[in-house]
Amino acid sequence: MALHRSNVVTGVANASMRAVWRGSCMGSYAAILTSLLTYTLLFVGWLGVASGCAVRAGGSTALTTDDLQSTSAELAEKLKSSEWLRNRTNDSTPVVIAVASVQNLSNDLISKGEQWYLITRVRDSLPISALRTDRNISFVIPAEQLQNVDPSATESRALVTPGGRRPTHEMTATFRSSRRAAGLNRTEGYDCEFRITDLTSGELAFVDTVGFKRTGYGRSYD
Amino acid sequence: MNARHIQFSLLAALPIVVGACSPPKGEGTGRVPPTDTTPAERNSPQISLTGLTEQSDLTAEQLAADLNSLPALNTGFRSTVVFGDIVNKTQIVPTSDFEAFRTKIRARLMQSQMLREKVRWVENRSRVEQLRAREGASSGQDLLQDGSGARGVQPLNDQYTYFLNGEMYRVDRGNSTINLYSMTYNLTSMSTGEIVWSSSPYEIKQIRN
Repeated sequence: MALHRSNVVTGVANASMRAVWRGSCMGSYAAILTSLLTYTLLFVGWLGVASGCAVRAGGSTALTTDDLQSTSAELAEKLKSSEWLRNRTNDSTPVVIAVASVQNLSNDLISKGEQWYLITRVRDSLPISALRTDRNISFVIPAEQLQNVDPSATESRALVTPGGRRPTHEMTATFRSSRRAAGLNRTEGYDCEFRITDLTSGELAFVDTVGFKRTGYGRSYD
Repeated sequence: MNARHIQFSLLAALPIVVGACSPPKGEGTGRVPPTDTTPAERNSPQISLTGLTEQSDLTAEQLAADLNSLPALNTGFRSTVVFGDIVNKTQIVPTSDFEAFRTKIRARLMQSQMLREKVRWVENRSRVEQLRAREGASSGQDLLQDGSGARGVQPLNDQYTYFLNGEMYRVDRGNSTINLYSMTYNLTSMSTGEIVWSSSPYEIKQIRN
Protein backbone atom coordinates (compact mmCIF):
# COMPACT_ATOMS: atom_id res chain seq x y z
CA MET A 1 0.00 0.00 0.00
CA ALA A 2 2.85 2.31 0.93
CA LEU A 3 4.51 1.39 -2.26
CA HIS A 4 1.34 2.15 -4.21
CA ARG A 5 0.99 5.54 -2.53
CA SER A 6 4.60 6.30 -3.26
CA ASN A 7 4.05 5.50 -6.96
CA VAL A 8 1.02 7.78 -7.05
CA VAL A 9 3.02 10.60 -5.55
CA THR A 10 5.84 10.03 -7.93
CA GLY A 11 3.38 9.93 -10.83
CA VAL A 12 1.76 13.20 -9.81
CA ALA A 13 5.18 14.80 -9.44
CA ASN A 14 6.23 13.59 -12.87
CA ALA A 15 3.03 14.92 -14.41
CA SER A 16 3.57 18.26 -12.77
CA MET A 17 7.14 18.42 -14.00
CA ARG A 18 6.07 17.54 -17.54
CA ALA A 19 3.43 20.27 -17.47
CA VAL A 20 5.97 22.81 -16.30
CA TRP A 21 8.50 21.67 -18.86
CA ARG A 22 5.91 21.68 -21.64
CA GLY A 23 4.90 25.20 -20.74
CA SER A 24 8.43 26.44 -20.77
CA CYS A 25 9.46 24.58 -23.91
CA MET A 26 6.32 25.20 -25.98
CA GLY A 27 8.01 27.99 -27.93
CA SER A 28 11.09 25.87 -28.69
CA TYR A 29 8.91 22.93 -29.75
CA ALA A 30 7.05 25.03 -32.24
CA ALA A 31 10.26 26.46 -33.61
CA ILE A 32 11.84 23.03 -34.02
CA LEU A 33 8.72 21.58 -35.66
CA THR A 34 8.41 24.54 -38.01
CA SER A 35 12.04 24.31 -39.04
CA LEU A 36 11.77 20.54 -39.54
CA LEU A 37 8.67 20.95 -41.66
CA THR A 38 10.24 23.76 -43.64
CA TYR A 39 13.40 21.81 -44.46
CA THR A 40 11.38 18.73 -45.40
CA LEU A 41 9.21 20.78 -47.71
CA LEU A 42 12.27 22.42 -49.20
CA PHE A 43 13.94 19.07 -49.84
CA VAL A 44 10.84 17.46 -51.34
CA GLY A 45 10.12 20.55 -53.40
CA TRP A 46 13.51 20.79 -55.01
CA LEU A 47 13.47 17.05 -55.58
CA GLY A 48 10.25 17.60 -57.53
CA VAL A 49 11.85 20.34 -59.60
CA ALA A 50 14.87 18.16 -60.31
CA SER A 51 12.74 15.24 -61.44
CA GLY A 52 10.58 17.57 -63.53
CA CYS A 53 13.63 18.91 -65.33
CA ALA A 54 14.83 15.38 -65.99
CA VAL A 55 11.54 14.47 -67.64
CA ARG A 56 11.65 17.49 -69.91
CA ALA A 57 15.06 16.46 -71.18
CA GLY A 58 13.95 12.90 -72.00
CA GLY A 59 10.39 13.60 -73.01
CA SER A 60 10.92 14.68 -76.59
CA THR A 61 10.68 12.37 -79.58
CA ALA A 62 12.45 14.85 -81.85
CA LEU A 63 15.63 13.90 -83.70
CA THR A 64 18.84 14.62 -81.84
CA THR A 65 22.30 15.54 -83.08
CA ASP A 66 23.44 12.00 -82.24
CA ASP A 67 20.65 10.60 -84.40
CA LEU A 68 21.82 12.55 -87.45
CA GLN A 69 25.45 11.64 -86.83
CA SER A 70 24.81 7.95 -86.30
CA THR A 71 22.42 7.76 -89.27
CA SER A 72 24.94 9.28 -91.66
CA ALA A 73 27.71 7.03 -90.29
CA GLU A 74 25.55 3.92 -90.69
CA LEU A 75 24.55 4.86 -94.23
CA ALA A 76 28.16 5.49 -95.22
CA GLU A 77 29.20 2.09 -93.85
CA LYS A 78 26.37 0.39 -95.72
CA LEU A 79 27.35 2.05 -98.97
CA LYS A 80 31.04 1.21 -98.51
CA SER A 81 30.25 -2.47 -97.98
CA SER A 82 27.60 -2.65 -100.73
CA GLU A 83 27.77 -5.09 -103.61
CA TRP A 84 27.11 -2.25 -106.02
CA LEU A 85 30.44 -0.66 -105.12
CA ARG A 86 32.24 -3.97 -104.78
CA ASN A 87 31.20 -5.12 -108.25
CA ARG A 88 32.48 -1.99 -109.96
CA THR A 89 35.98 -1.67 -111.45
CA ASN A 90 37.87 1.13 -113.17
CA ASP A 91 36.57 -0.30 -116.48
CA SER A 92 32.91 -0.01 -115.44
CA THR A 93 30.63 2.56 -117.07
CA PRO A 94 31.47 5.96 -115.58
CA VAL A 95 29.20 7.09 -112.80
CA VAL A 96 28.96 10.78 -111.98
CA ILE A 97 27.03 11.40 -108.79
CA ALA A 98 25.32 14.63 -107.80
CA VAL A 99 24.17 14.76 -104.23
CA ALA A 100 20.89 16.34 -103.23
CA SER A 101 19.73 17.37 -99.80
CA VAL A 102 17.72 14.98 -97.70
CA GLN A 103 13.99 15.04 -98.31
CA ASN A 104 12.15 15.48 -95.04
CA LEU A 105 8.83 13.63 -94.89
CA SER A 106 8.97 13.19 -91.11
CA ASN A 107 6.91 14.94 -88.45
CA ASP A 108 10.04 16.62 -87.14
CA LEU A 109 11.55 19.86 -88.40
CA ILE A 110 14.87 19.29 -90.13
CA SER A 111 16.50 22.51 -91.24
CA LYS A 112 18.00 22.90 -94.71
CA GLY A 113 21.47 22.90 -93.19
CA GLU A 114 20.80 19.65 -91.38
CA GLN A 115 19.41 18.12 -94.57
CA TRP A 116 22.64 18.95 -96.35
CA TYR A 117 24.76 17.96 -93.37
CA LEU A 118 23.52 14.38 -93.42
CA ILE A 119 24.06 13.71 -97.11
CA THR A 120 27.41 15.50 -97.42
CA ARG A 121 28.64 13.62 -94.35
CA VAL A 122 27.91 10.36 -96.17
CA ARG A 123 29.73 11.62 -99.27
CA ASP A 124 32.71 12.88 -97.28
CA SER A 125 33.00 9.57 -95.44
CA LEU A 126 33.75 7.86 -98.74
CA PRO A 127 37.29 7.60 -100.15
CA ILE A 128 36.59 9.88 -103.12
CA SER A 129 40.02 9.57 -104.77
CA ALA A 130 40.03 5.79 -104.52
CA LEU A 131 36.51 5.64 -105.90
CA ARG A 132 37.55 7.65 -108.94
CA THR A 133 40.57 5.49 -109.77
CA ASP A 134 39.34 2.06 -108.72
CA ARG A 135 35.57 2.21 -109.28
CA ASN A 136 35.21 4.94 -111.93
CA ILE A 137 32.88 6.91 -109.67
CA SER A 138 33.16 10.66 -109.28
CA PHE A 139 31.15 13.33 -107.52
CA VAL A 140 30.07 16.72 -108.82
CA ILE A 141 28.80 19.72 -106.96
CA PRO A 142 25.07 19.76 -106.20
CA ALA A 143 22.65 21.42 -108.61
CA GLU A 144 21.47 23.72 -105.84
CA GLN A 145 24.93 25.26 -105.58
CA LEU A 146 24.89 26.01 -109.30
CA GLN A 147 22.00 28.41 -108.77
CA ASN A 148 24.48 30.84 -107.28
CA VAL A 149 26.92 30.52 -110.16
CA ASP A 150 27.13 33.40 -112.61
CA PRO A 151 27.11 31.79 -116.10
CA SER A 152 28.83 34.84 -117.57
CA ALA A 153 31.85 34.39 -115.33
CA THR A 154 34.71 32.76 -117.19
CA GLU A 155 35.81 30.71 -114.22
CA SER A 156 32.45 29.05 -113.68
CA ARG A 157 31.30 28.73 -117.27
CA ALA A 158 32.60 25.16 -117.56
CA LEU A 159 30.25 24.04 -114.82
CA VAL A 160 27.10 25.05 -116.61
CA THR A 161 27.99 24.25 -120.21
CA PRO A 162 28.11 20.89 -121.99
CA GLY A 163 31.36 19.17 -121.28
CA GLY A 164 31.33 20.32 -117.69
CA ARG A 165 29.18 18.93 -114.95
CA ARG A 166 27.25 15.91 -116.20
CA PRO A 167 25.70 13.82 -113.46
CA THR A 168 24.51 10.34 -114.36
CA HIS A 169 23.25 9.46 -110.87
CA GLU A 170 21.64 11.24 -107.98
CA MET A 171 22.45 10.44 -104.35
CA THR A 172 19.92 11.47 -101.73
CA ALA A 173 17.91 10.24 -98.78
CA THR A 174 14.41 10.57 -97.42
CA PHE A 175 13.53 10.86 -93.75
CA ARG A 176 10.12 9.50 -92.85
CA SER A 177 8.45 9.05 -89.52
CA SER A 178 5.36 7.42 -88.09
CA ARG A 179 3.82 8.52 -84.82
CA ARG A 180 2.02 6.47 -82.20
CA ALA A 181 0.52 7.93 -79.04
CA ALA A 182 -1.51 6.46 -76.21
CA GLY A 183 -2.21 8.47 -73.08
CA LEU A 184 1.00 10.24 -72.23
CA ASN A 185 3.17 7.71 -74.07
CA ARG A 186 4.50 8.81 -77.43
CA THR A 187 6.65 7.04 -79.98
CA GLU A 188 8.10 8.35 -83.23
CA GLY A 189 9.45 5.71 -85.58
CA TYR A 190 12.08 7.22 -87.89
CA ASP A 191 13.26 5.71 -91.11
CA CYS A 192 15.94 7.13 -93.38
CA GLU A 193 16.03 5.67 -96.89
CA PHE A 194 19.28 6.32 -98.74
CA ARG A 195 19.38 5.78 -102.49
CA ILE A 196 21.45 6.29 -105.61
CA THR A 197 19.31 6.62 -108.72
CA ASP A 198 20.31 6.32 -112.36
CA LEU A 199 19.05 9.53 -113.98
CA THR A 200 18.71 8.00 -117.43
CA SER A 201 16.65 4.93 -116.62
CA GLY A 202 15.34 5.76 -113.18
CA GLU A 203 16.83 2.49 -111.94
CA LEU A 204 17.87 2.38 -108.33
CA ALA A 205 21.53 1.45 -108.17
CA PHE A 206 21.69 1.33 -104.40
CA VAL A 207 19.06 1.52 -101.67
CA ASP A 208 19.34 0.95 -97.95
CA THR A 209 17.56 2.13 -94.83
CA VAL A 210 18.38 3.02 -91.26
CA GLY A 211 15.56 2.90 -88.74
CA PHE A 212 15.10 3.66 -85.07
CA LYS A 213 12.44 4.86 -82.66
CA ARG A 214 12.30 7.67 -80.17
CA THR A 215 9.97 7.41 -77.22
CA GLY A 216 8.75 10.18 -75.00
CA TYR A 217 6.42 10.58 -72.07
CA GLY A 218 4.16 13.45 -71.23
CA ARG A 219 2.46 16.02 -73.37
CA SER A 220 4.30 16.92 -76.54
CA TYR A 221 4.19 20.63 -75.69
CA ASP A 222 6.04 19.94 -72.43
CA MET B 1 5.39 31.08 -35.87
CA ASN B 2 7.09 34.32 -36.71
CA ALA B 3 7.32 36.13 -40.03
CA ARG B 4 10.68 34.54 -40.83
CA HIS B 5 9.16 31.08 -40.56
CA ILE B 6 6.28 32.02 -42.81
CA GLN B 7 8.63 33.40 -45.46
CA PHE B 8 10.78 30.30 -45.26
CA SER B 9 7.72 28.03 -45.60
CA LEU B 10 6.54 29.90 -48.66
CA LEU B 11 9.98 29.54 -50.20
CA ALA B 12 9.82 25.83 -49.50
CA ALA B 13 6.35 25.46 -50.97
CA LEU B 14 7.29 27.21 -54.24
CA PRO B 15 9.41 24.38 -55.68
CA ILE B 16 6.64 21.91 -54.81
CA VAL B 17 4.20 23.88 -56.90
CA VAL B 18 6.71 24.17 -59.75
CA GLY B 19 7.65 20.53 -59.45
CA ALA B 20 4.05 19.42 -59.49
CA CYS B 21 3.54 21.22 -62.81
CA SER B 22 6.26 19.13 -64.46
CA PRO B 23 5.11 16.10 -66.40
CA PRO B 24 5.48 12.73 -64.71
CA LYS B 25 8.41 10.55 -65.60
CA GLY B 26 7.76 7.71 -68.02
CA GLU B 27 9.63 4.48 -68.44
CA GLY B 28 12.18 3.90 -71.15
CA THR B 29 12.19 7.29 -72.85
CA GLY B 30 14.85 7.96 -75.48
CA ARG B 31 16.10 6.03 -78.49
CA VAL B 32 15.04 2.41 -78.88
CA PRO B 33 15.63 -0.17 -81.62
CA PRO B 34 12.91 -0.48 -84.29
CA THR B 35 12.08 -4.01 -83.15
CA ASP B 36 11.11 -2.96 -79.61
CA THR B 37 7.40 -2.48 -78.96
CA THR B 38 6.85 0.66 -76.93
CA PRO B 39 3.97 1.44 -74.50
CA ALA B 40 2.56 3.96 -77.01
CA GLU B 41 2.39 1.26 -79.69
CA ARG B 42 0.86 -1.28 -77.30
CA ASN B 43 -1.98 1.01 -76.28
CA SER B 44 -2.60 2.76 -79.59
CA PRO B 45 -5.46 1.59 -81.83
CA GLN B 46 -3.19 2.10 -84.85
CA ILE B 47 -1.08 -0.77 -86.08
CA SER B 48 2.19 -1.08 -84.18
CA LEU B 49 5.38 0.02 -85.92
CA THR B 50 6.99 -3.24 -84.86
CA GLY B 51 4.23 -5.09 -86.71
CA LEU B 52 4.90 -3.05 -89.85
CA THR B 53 8.63 -3.79 -89.60
CA GLU B 54 7.93 -7.49 -89.18
CA GLN B 55 5.57 -7.51 -92.13
CA SER B 56 8.07 -5.80 -94.44
CA ASP B 57 10.74 -8.33 -93.43
CA LEU B 58 8.41 -11.28 -94.02
CA THR B 59 7.21 -9.94 -97.38
CA ALA B 60 10.80 -9.42 -98.56
CA GLU B 61 11.76 -12.93 -97.48
CA GLN B 62 8.72 -14.43 -99.16
CA LEU B 63 9.23 -12.57 -102.42
CA ALA B 64 12.91 -13.55 -102.45
CA ALA B 65 12.00 -17.18 -101.86
CA ASP B 66 9.22 -17.22 -104.49
CA LEU B 67 11.15 -15.39 -107.17
CA ASN B 68 12.68 -18.46 -108.77
CA SER B 69 9.33 -20.19 -109.08
CA LEU B 70 7.59 -17.21 -110.65
CA PRO B 71 7.33 -17.76 -114.43
CA ALA B 72 6.64 -14.08 -115.02
CA LEU B 73 9.97 -13.07 -113.48
CA ASN B 74 11.99 -15.86 -115.09
CA THR B 75 11.62 -15.06 -118.78
CA GLY B 76 15.32 -14.50 -119.40
CA PHE B 77 14.93 -10.71 -119.24
CA ARG B 78 15.46 -8.51 -116.24
CA SER B 79 12.03 -7.50 -114.97
CA THR B 80 11.26 -4.05 -113.69
CA VAL B 81 9.37 -3.37 -110.47
CA VAL B 82 7.80 -0.01 -109.69
CA PHE B 83 5.95 1.03 -106.56
CA GLY B 84 2.24 1.04 -107.30
CA ASP B 85 -0.81 1.90 -105.21
CA ILE B 86 -1.57 1.23 -101.59
CA VAL B 87 -5.21 0.47 -100.86
CA ASN B 88 -5.61 1.71 -97.32
CA LYS B 89 -8.95 0.79 -95.75
CA THR B 90 -7.84 1.01 -92.14
CA GLN B 91 -9.38 4.49 -91.65
CA ILE B 92 -7.06 5.35 -88.78
CA VAL B 93 -3.58 4.59 -90.13
CA PRO B 94 -2.09 7.11 -92.58
CA THR B 95 -0.99 5.73 -95.94
CA SER B 96 2.40 7.37 -95.45
CA ASP B 97 3.07 4.82 -92.68
CA PHE B 98 2.61 1.97 -95.13
CA GLU B 99 4.67 3.74 -97.78
CA ALA B 100 7.54 4.13 -95.31
CA PHE B 101 7.59 0.43 -94.61
CA ARG B 102 7.21 -0.51 -98.27
CA THR B 103 10.57 1.12 -98.94
CA LYS B 104 12.05 -1.31 -96.42
CA ILE B 105 10.93 -4.22 -98.61
CA ARG B 106 12.78 -2.71 -101.56
CA ALA B 107 15.87 -2.04 -99.47
CA ARG B 108 15.92 -5.63 -98.17
CA LEU B 109 15.50 -7.12 -101.64
CA MET B 110 18.18 -4.93 -103.17
CA GLN B 111 20.79 -6.41 -100.83
CA SER B 112 20.61 -9.68 -102.75
CA GLN B 113 22.85 -9.97 -105.81
CA MET B 114 20.77 -12.86 -107.16
CA LEU B 115 17.60 -10.79 -106.98
CA ARG B 116 19.16 -7.79 -108.62
CA GLU B 117 20.16 -9.96 -111.57
CA LYS B 118 16.50 -10.81 -112.15
CA VAL B 119 14.72 -7.68 -111.00
CA ARG B 120 15.51 -4.01 -111.18
CA TRP B 121 13.75 -1.39 -109.10
CA VAL B 122 12.82 1.83 -110.81
CA GLU B 123 11.69 5.14 -109.42
CA ASN B 124 8.34 6.31 -110.75
CA ARG B 125 8.47 8.37 -113.90
CA SER B 126 7.36 11.67 -112.40
CA ARG B 127 10.12 11.56 -109.81
CA VAL B 128 12.81 10.77 -112.38
CA GLU B 129 11.56 13.61 -114.60
CA GLN B 130 11.76 15.88 -111.58
CA LEU B 131 15.35 14.81 -110.87
CA ARG B 132 16.39 15.32 -114.44
CA ALA B 133 14.78 18.72 -114.59
CA ARG B 134 16.66 19.80 -111.49
CA GLU B 135 20.00 18.53 -112.71
CA GLY B 136 19.59 20.13 -116.12
CA ALA B 137 17.71 23.26 -115.17
CA SER B 138 20.72 25.32 -114.21
CA SER B 139 22.08 25.56 -117.73
CA GLY B 140 18.73 25.51 -119.44
CA GLN B 141 19.62 22.30 -121.22
CA ASP B 142 19.80 18.60 -120.58
CA LEU B 143 23.11 17.96 -118.87
CA LEU B 144 22.72 14.25 -119.41
CA GLN B 145 23.27 14.53 -123.13
CA ASP B 146 26.68 13.04 -123.62
CA GLY B 147 26.26 11.92 -127.20
CA SER B 148 24.64 8.61 -126.36
CA GLY B 149 21.40 9.68 -127.97
CA ALA B 150 19.31 9.24 -124.85
CA ARG B 151 16.75 12.00 -124.43
CA GLY B 152 14.24 11.89 -121.60
CA VAL B 153 13.56 8.98 -119.35
CA GLN B 154 13.88 5.61 -121.00
CA PRO B 155 10.37 4.18 -121.44
CA LEU B 156 9.49 1.03 -119.54
CA ASN B 157 8.70 -2.12 -121.42
CA ASP B 158 5.26 -2.95 -120.08
CA GLN B 159 5.73 -6.64 -120.90
CA TYR B 160 8.34 -6.92 -118.19
CA THR B 161 7.16 -4.28 -115.77
CA TYR B 162 5.27 -4.97 -112.54
CA PHE B 163 3.73 -2.79 -109.84
CA LEU B 164 4.22 -3.62 -106.18
CA ASN B 165 0.81 -2.81 -104.73
CA GLY B 166 -0.36 -3.10 -101.16
CA GLU B 167 -3.73 -3.72 -99.55
CA MET B 168 -4.35 -2.87 -95.92
CA TYR B 169 -7.58 -3.59 -94.05
CA ARG B 170 -8.79 -3.26 -90.47
CA VAL B 171 -11.57 -5.09 -88.63
CA ASP B 172 -12.85 -3.24 -85.56
CA ARG B 173 -15.42 -5.13 -83.51
CA GLY B 174 -15.04 -3.86 -79.98
CA ASN B 175 -15.20 -0.10 -79.78
CA SER B 176 -11.63 0.10 -81.03
CA THR B 177 -10.34 -2.03 -78.16
CA ILE B 178 -9.68 -4.93 -80.53
CA ASN B 179 -8.22 -4.13 -83.94
CA LEU B 180 -7.41 -6.81 -86.46
CA TYR B 181 -5.15 -5.66 -89.28
CA SER B 182 -4.57 -7.57 -92.48
CA MET B 183 -1.92 -6.55 -94.99
CA THR B 184 -0.83 -8.05 -98.28
CA TYR B 185 1.46 -7.03 -101.11
CA ASN B 186 1.16 -8.18 -104.68
CA LEU B 187 2.91 -7.84 -108.02
CA THR B 188 0.64 -6.76 -110.85
CA SER B 189 1.60 -6.88 -114.52
CA MET B 190 1.69 -3.48 -116.17
CA SER B 191 0.50 -4.84 -119.52
CA THR B 192 -2.37 -7.11 -118.45
CA GLY B 193 -3.21 -6.12 -114.87
CA GLU B 194 -2.78 -9.74 -113.83
CA ILE B 195 -1.65 -10.38 -110.26
CA VAL B 196 1.38 -12.60 -110.75
CA TRP B 197 2.39 -12.85 -107.09
CA SER B 198 0.82 -12.16 -103.74
CA SER B 199 2.30 -12.34 -100.28
CA SER B 200 0.64 -14.37 -97.55
CA PRO B 201 -1.71 -12.09 -95.61
CA TYR B 202 0.02 -10.66 -92.59
CA GLU B 203 -2.51 -10.41 -89.79
CA ILE B 204 -2.00 -8.81 -86.44
CA LYS B 205 -4.60 -8.45 -83.70
CA GLN B 206 -4.04 -5.63 -81.26
CA ILE B 207 -5.91 -5.54 -77.96
CA ARG B 208 -5.75 -2.30 -76.05
CA ASN B 209 -5.61 -2.36 -72.27
